[in-house]
Amino acid sequence: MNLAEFQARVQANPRPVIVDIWAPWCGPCRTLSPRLLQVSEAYVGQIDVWKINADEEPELVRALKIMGIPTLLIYRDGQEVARRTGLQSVDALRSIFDALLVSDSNGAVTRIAGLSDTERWLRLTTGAILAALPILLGWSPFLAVVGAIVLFSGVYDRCPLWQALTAKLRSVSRSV
Amino acid sequence: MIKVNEAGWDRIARIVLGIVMLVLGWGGFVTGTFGVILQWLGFIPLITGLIGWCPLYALFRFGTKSA
Repeated sequence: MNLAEFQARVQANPRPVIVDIWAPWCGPCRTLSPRLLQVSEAYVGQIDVWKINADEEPELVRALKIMGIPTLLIYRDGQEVARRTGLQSVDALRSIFDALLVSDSNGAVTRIAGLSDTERWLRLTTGAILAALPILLGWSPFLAVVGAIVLFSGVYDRCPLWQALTAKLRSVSRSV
Repeated sequence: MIKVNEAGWDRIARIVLGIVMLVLGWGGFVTGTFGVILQWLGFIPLITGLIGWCPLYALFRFGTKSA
């Protein structure tokens, strides 16, 4: 399959698609595969999961600019909205599946791919200004705390501690 | 999930306005009742600019962001 054929298949598919790029010799791929199967069972008919063996489709993998495996390519409305490389936890996989079903397209992309560069830049700049001014000029620390919160909101999606905490909270809320 | 209803220029204008109001209020450049008002009212344009969603726009089904 070449890139054009692959893209045509994705665009013709009426449902969101998660494409698992894997290889038989790859340990993390073998761990991810059953997790993906387990999570996807709850989304049958809503989200499709395709698997591509990187050894059998080297041209396609190169054309898709895959830098490492396992990689999950996440498509919605025929467009790639995010990609995740490396082993994913069951909770992280569930978050991706859940986000793909959000009706608002922009919201879905934000939930899977995290903040856009513009969004991140806005939050980091604003947070830095609000945090720095009170510290440098001796104003009320309240404004510095607000600045720190705004700063964190610019990187929360890349904070492993935050991700672990929210994943834990999600799994607790599911079990209640 | 909140749907963004502000254009980029709108968001930046709100954030700048919010920062200016907060600096004037919390920095002591404006004192008295007006200073206290600025200290707290400044958070409104700041937050609505940061999240890109204005409740008043939503209420009146208006928005600066093109569809």
